[in-house]
Parts: sequence; structure tokens; C-alpha cells
Amino acid sequence: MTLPRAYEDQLVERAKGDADAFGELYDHYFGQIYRFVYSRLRDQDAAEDVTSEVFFKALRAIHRYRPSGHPFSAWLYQISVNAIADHYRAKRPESDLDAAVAVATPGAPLDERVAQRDEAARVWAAIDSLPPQQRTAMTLKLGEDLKLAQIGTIMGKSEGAVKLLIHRGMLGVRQRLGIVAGGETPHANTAPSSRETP
Amino acid sequence: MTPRDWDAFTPDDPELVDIVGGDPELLALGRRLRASRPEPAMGPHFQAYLRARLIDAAATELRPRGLTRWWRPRSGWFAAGGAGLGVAMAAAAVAAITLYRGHDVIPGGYSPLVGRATVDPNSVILVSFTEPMDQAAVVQGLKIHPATAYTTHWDSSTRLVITPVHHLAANTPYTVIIDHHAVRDVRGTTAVADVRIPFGTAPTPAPAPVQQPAQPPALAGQAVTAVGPDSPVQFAPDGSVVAGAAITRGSTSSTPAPAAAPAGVPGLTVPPIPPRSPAAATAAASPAASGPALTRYGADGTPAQLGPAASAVAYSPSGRLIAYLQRDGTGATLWVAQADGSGGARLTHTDDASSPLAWSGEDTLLVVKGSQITSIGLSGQSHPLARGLRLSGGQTVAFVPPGKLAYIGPAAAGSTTTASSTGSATATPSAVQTPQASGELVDLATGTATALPGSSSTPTFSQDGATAVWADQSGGTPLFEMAPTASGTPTTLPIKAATGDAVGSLALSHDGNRLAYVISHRDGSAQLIVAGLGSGAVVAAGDGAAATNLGWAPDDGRLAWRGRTASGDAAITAAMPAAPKPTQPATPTIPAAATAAVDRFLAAQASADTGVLRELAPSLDLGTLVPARADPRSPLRHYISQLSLAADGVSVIAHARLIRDPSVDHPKAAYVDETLTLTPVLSGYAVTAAPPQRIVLRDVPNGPQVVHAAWQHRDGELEVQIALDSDIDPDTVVGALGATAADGGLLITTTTYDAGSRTIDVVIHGAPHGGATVTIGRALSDIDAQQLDAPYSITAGP
Repeated sequence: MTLPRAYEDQLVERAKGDADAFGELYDHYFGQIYRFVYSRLRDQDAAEDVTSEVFFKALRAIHRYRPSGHPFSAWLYQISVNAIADHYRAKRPESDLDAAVAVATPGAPLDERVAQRDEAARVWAAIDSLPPQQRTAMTLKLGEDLKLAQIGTIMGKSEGAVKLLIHRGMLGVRQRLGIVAGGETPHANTAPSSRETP
Repeated sequence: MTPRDWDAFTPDDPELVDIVGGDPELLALGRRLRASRPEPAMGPHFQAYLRARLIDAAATELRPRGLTRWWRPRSGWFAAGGAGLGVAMAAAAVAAITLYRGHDVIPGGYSPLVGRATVDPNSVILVSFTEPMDQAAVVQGLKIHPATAYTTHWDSSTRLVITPVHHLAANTPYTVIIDHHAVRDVRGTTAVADVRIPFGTAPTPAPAPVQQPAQPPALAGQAVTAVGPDSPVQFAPDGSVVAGAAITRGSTSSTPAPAAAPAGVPGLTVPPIPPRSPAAATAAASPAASGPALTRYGADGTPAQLGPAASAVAYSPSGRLIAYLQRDGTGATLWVAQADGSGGARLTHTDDASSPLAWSGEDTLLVVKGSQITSIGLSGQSHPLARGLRLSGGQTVAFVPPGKLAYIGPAAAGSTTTASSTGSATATPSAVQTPQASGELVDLATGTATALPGSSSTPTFSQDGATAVWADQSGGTPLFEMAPTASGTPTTLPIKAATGDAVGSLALSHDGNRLAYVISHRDGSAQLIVAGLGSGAVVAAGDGAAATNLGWAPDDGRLAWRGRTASGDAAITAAMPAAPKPTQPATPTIPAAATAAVDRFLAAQASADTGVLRELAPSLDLGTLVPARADPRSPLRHYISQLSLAADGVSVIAHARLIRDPSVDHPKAAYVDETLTLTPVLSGYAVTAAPPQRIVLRDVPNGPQVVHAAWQHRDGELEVQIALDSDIDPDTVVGALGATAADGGLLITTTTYDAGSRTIDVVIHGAPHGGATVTIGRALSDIDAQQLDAPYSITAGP
């Protein structure tokens, strides 16, 4: 549920001096921030650490926040993008394929869970191997369904630049999954990139 | 989900479709990625654990910085007049509540007005809800304090628009309350707390009594010509008057009426009109040799015949062509000719004798034919419009310039066909359409309809067709509404009518500033009124008996209509009177320096500016001048309710009020009234008398409050005007008012209540020597049956 803009502005203003108001913001945005962070890291421990860092940074900086016409969530996403970059700087990811195994939905039939796990692991690991900015743009669009304008705000880029990043990202994923015209090859390269730069 | 299921389960993201262009494989890959995105894994208590840590940290992170900022008054709070003070409350005043009870979302509502102190009195009040609501329940539980008459509509399932009938009072604290039992969503879940929307209105324009001329300038109508029944009366593009005059062809010096259709219209760039069957054309084109004829009257009154008697006439947008409908036994024939009436050609015949007529561009005409709105090309081809919409019996049709929209009135069972020459008519009964309560604007290309709430008679439209003005007569008192024709929220205009009046024949001036209309009173009399659209003030009035077909000259300098004279129906024109000179009030003038000093003193009280208070009131005890304020976060503002000269003729007496707007924490507004005496000093004026005790704010009681009072001598009478903050029950006004002379004797008065300005006007006949005291008793009630808190008195005219 999206907060009405006027109400959100009031809530953010209150949150600058009111812990309960900040708690209300947290309640509202925790889910989507955690989901985004997790989509980028696909590691539960890392996602929890980075999400904690995001909200503590927001708490410490909220008195400087000024409404700019964009949703408050854009500001949180910006902090998240930076926190993820910091995380990668500090620690290179381990096997993303292993982490991807955890994405299966508990309770689903075994064969479906296996298929789902394999599918998620394969395609999202391919995203992980993209250059960082393509990876961020792809995750925000395909993982969060954000609008190009919102992604542009978060990444500090124009809509056109974001479109280009996503298009190139799509081409990159296709190449990494080994999809060629008319189908996909049996031995796709799904190895993730071993580097992340801000 | 198997890898092959993503096409079926994941809808496309339009932006992604755009990004991948026509590449089906990339599109499929996009679906695949979205369908298989990882569900985040998370520790079961992580979210709650992190929240607890954040709240703990917030107690130290936010308080030093946040609360210091919070409690420190800012200069912006104390703007001139204190008007902007309440803005600072916005951060604290939040009326939105969204809670979770188990898995059910509990509805809440909020408004962007919450905490604002400078809301435009002409604003509507928007209330947004978190869930689709039970709309009837919400409206049922709605209250506005001070009592305010309003209308409501929903522009979505979650947003309520409250429109005050007489706009909001200026400089007034308001609270909109919706009882929590009424804040019920469509699933039946109710809120846990009332929705409270406290706000204040801007101090200007003050809710002062509006001085209306006792008699607005009269419209001096002059008959141009006698007209036949159902004949049109309107202005031509050059300002001459076109009417269905009761003259014979031989009596004019004009061009001949249409004869046989020519092969074309020479000299025009419009498509040529094809020849008709000579016999048919000649037969149809032969107007009566005598009797009413369509005639144009130039500036000197010289008539020029344009054609035979017509039921409707329309000039093309360029003014070069004229079209008219000539009635016959089976309907009406559509003719087109050059603007001077020459070169007439028969275009088509319609079975609807009362069809309206309008141009859409230079080469297409619009009529009602076969119960359908139909376009007629200059070569005679016709096409039904609005996707073949069929009109039902009694539906009024009017075309909106420039011919892209049509107004279709509600169906009226058993109605009779009536004539009109203003581009509107009632359609022949052939109903297939579901009757609607209000008229609608229909897009002639798409057939889509937009309701004009409450409209039952033909609206008037701006020249560009972008704005519609109509009378909503669905309630007891007609309201004048205005809205964009492209759909939008209607605005109630400040033009007034009394309960039981009927309004019709609206005509909006070309400049969009004035509205002419005919108002029929319950006693059978009728007036033709011209009112300012923005102010609602009557700028001219005349006899409106049988007046119809109102229209403005191209320069808005004259009005034309069909009306009744002693010798029968006539085309009448009247020049718009010059704006009246403002009357000089007989009330002694209050020096501007005194007014400024009062204003500055009150602002200093509101902001506890002891420096200014000491400067303006050096002889008074400073401790009594600063009001006791319960909450420094709720700043005060002020207004002056009355200024008068003291008996010495030089000192000034000011009655004023300091108010604290309501907030979420303090849902009731609070106020204190005080009386100040100002005496001239070298530097201007000084406050020399004020309440001896420290002033203390008290909660505003329920019921109406006097916000302004003034008096003046006029025409040998004493007039007292008292403005209130609430909409008053008019039936309680006369009984609550009393006037006494200085010796205590009762005085004869005439008392009226103007709902538009919320002002009681008391005229004391004979202007008693020694003045009079007018008292409003507690019997005065607002529309919510709340009485005046305490009697109010004003002494005037000594």
C-alpha cells in the first residue's frame, strides 16, 4: 500500500522528532527494502545486516531529509543501494548459487520446489554476474517492479539511461543463460561475477 | 510454478515491453525473471527485533535534535496577523489512522488541510481514506464546526470532497469530524478513532458584511421588434440583433429570402453545396410572403431580412455563413446561406421541429434528427454522432461550442416538445435511454458522458466550451455550479437564490465574468439578474417576466432576450449599466494608523512580543497583556471584530479576538475576546486601556460566533450588519434580534439574513437620536440547532 503523499510528508516530518512516527515509517517500508536488499544479496544473514544498516542510517540522517517530490521510499532505496555497495566492498560474495537454494517456498510440493529453486538460482545468478549498475537497475525493475522514473531517482540517472542499463542487462542475462535465437543451450554460463563495485 | 508457466502467471510490465522493443525472447526472459524472483528469507523475529533497536536508538538519536527544534518558536510562526502561525501545527496534527487488527486493515482518513492555518476560504475539503469506504455511512457521520452547510461527492472510492455551500468563513478555526462508527469501509470494518481535521482559514478576505447597493442598477430594456412565437433572439457576430421579427418581406430593404437552392455559395471557401432537386428545393424554399421572418437589426435599427421565420439560427465560427431551421408540418428544414441571407441552400430535413442547431467547424452542422444527434455536412451528408446515442422523450439537448460536446438533460416523462432558439430543444419522445437524475455532457465522438450533478435545465457554456455553469435545483434552494466540461469538481458559485426560487435561461458573458439568468420567485414575479461570477454580487437587474433566450453581445456591452411587453412578445436589448460608484459609508472613518496599531498590538499579544507590547502600551501592566497560553506549540492568531470612534471623537475602541486553532492534541479551538482603547499620540496611536486581568483563552463553545459587526447611516436609516462564523437557521434570525433606543424604547427594524456572507442586516427605521443597541439573543441557532453561547450586543449610531 502506498502512503498518500501529503500524509507521508507529514509522517516524515514528525519522524524527525518522534520515535513512534519513525516506527510507523519503518513498519511501512521495511518489507520492500528488505526484499530489495535480499534480491541483491540473496543471503539471509547479509540481507538482515544490510537492512539494519539501511534503517539506522535513515534514522541518523532523517533530520536532513527534505521532501523533493519523490516518495520517501526513493530515499530509502538510495541508502540501500549504497549499503549494498558497501557490503560488497567489505566482503566478496560467496557462492550465490548456494544462497539461491534458499529461495524455494516452504510447503510447496517437492518437485515444484526443486524446479522453482533451480529456476530462481539459474536466472537470478545470471543477474548477479552483470556489472553493478545493470544489476541494480535490473533488480529494481524485475524484482521490485519500480517505474523507470523511480529507478532513475534512486540511481541518480535519467530514465533513458535506466532503460539502457536494463536493456543491456537483459541482453547480458540472455547471453549468460545461453539463450540463442530459438532456444537455450544446455550448458549456460551461470557463474556469478566475483566483483562488486559501487 | 514450472519454468513454462511464467507467461500465463506474470503480466507484462509495460515499461519492460517498451525497453525490449519487439524482441520476443527478451520479453519472455523478462517474464521469466519476474516470475522466478526470489522470495526473501528472513529470521522469524528479525523485523520486530530491528524495530525495537531502532525505537531505542530513536529515543537518543531524535530527541536532542528533534525536540529542541520542535519546541523552539520560529519566526515564521509569527507572521503578520498571526495568520501563518498554525502552519507549524501541521507536523503534530495528523488525522490519518491506519491500524491492523489481526489481519484486518482498519480504515482511517486524513486531509491535507490538517493543521493548516491559512486555508483559502474558497477551498473544498478533501478527505482521503485508506480503504474503499461505505460512502453513505461516512457522509452520515460528518460534522463541521462551526456549523457549515455543505454538499458532498466522492471522486473515487477512497476520496470524499466536501464543498461548503457558502464557502468557508475567513479567519476562522474549523474542525471537520467524522465519527469513528461512520468511518466504515466497504467490508464493514470501522475505525477505532474519529477522523478529526482541524484547520484554520486565512484572515482575508475578512468575513465582513458586504455592502450591497440597496437597489442594483436597472436593466433598461428596449424593444427591438415584435417577435413571432418561438422565434430566436440573439446577437450576430457584428453585434446586430437577429430575431424572428413579425414583419413582412416587402417591408424591409433587405436581401431576399432563400429561393431555389443555388449550386454553391459564391466567394466562400467552404465546400460547395450540391444542387437539389429544383422542384423540391423550390417548394421547400418558398417562405411565406408575409408574417414573421428572420431579420437582422443593425446598430441603427434598420432591419434586413435574412430568411423565413426560423426556430433556430446559428452563425458559423467565421461569421460568414448562417444556418437556420424553418419549421414545417413534419419537422424543420435546415438551410444554410451567406451571413447576409443570400445564396441560401436547403441542406436537410429533420423530424424534430425543436431541434437545436450549432456549427462544428465551418463545414458541419449539428442537429437532432430521428432522435439522434446528427452531423450534417454542407454537401448534405449526415452521420449520427455519440455512437448512435438515441434520445429519450423530453430530453433537453444543447450543443457546447465548438461542437464537440452536447448537453443532454434528464428525461422527463410526459413532457411536451417546446421550442427554443438558444441551441437547445427538447427531443421527440422515442426513449430507449435509461433516464438519469442529472443532465450529462456527452462527447459527440466517443459517446462518453460526464454528469453535471443536479443540472436539470440547460447550462450555459464559456465561449471556448471549456466551462459549464448550471443551476442545481435538486434541493430547496437553487445553487449555481461551475465545472470544466472536460470533467472536474464542480464549484458552487457565490450567486444566491432564495428557497423556492426557480432559475433558468442562464447566459455566461463572453469574458466569463458575469452570468445573466432569470429567477422566478414563489410569488409569481420574475427578475432578470446579471451577477458577477466571482463575487456573486448583483450588478444589474430588470423585469424577467417571460424572459428567455438570454444572450450577450460580442463585446458583452449589451444583453438581448425575448420578453413580454404590453403589446406582446418582443426582442429586447439592454445596455449593461456602468458599475456603480462605491457608496461612502456614513460611519465615521477610523484612521488607518489606529487600525495598524491595533493589528500590531494583537500580533504582539499572539506572539508574546513584550517589546512591541511595551512600545504600544507603555502605560499598561505588561503582565496582563500577554495571554496565558497552555501550549507553546499552538500559536495564536487574531482578528478585529469591530472598530469604532469613542465618544471623544478621537480615541478608537477595538473589539478583537485572539484564537488558537484546534489541533489533534487540542481538538477544540480556544479564544479570548478583548476590548482595547487607543489614543492618539505623537508617534501614532497607543493602547491606553485593555482588560485589567490577564487574558485567558477558553474553548470555543458550540454554536454560532459573531466575527464582525459594523454600522452606518444610510438614507436616513441606521443599518447594522453582524457577520457570523456559522451557517444560520434563517427561521431563528428575526426572533433573536431586538433593537432599543438609548432611552430603552423598542425600535422598529427590518431584519434580513444573507446566507452567502453569513451576515445579519438590521435596518433601524428613523435613525434614532442617540443611537441604538442591537442585541442578538441566544435563540439564534445555526443549521445544526446549536444556539448562540451568550447574547451579543452592539451599540450603533450615537
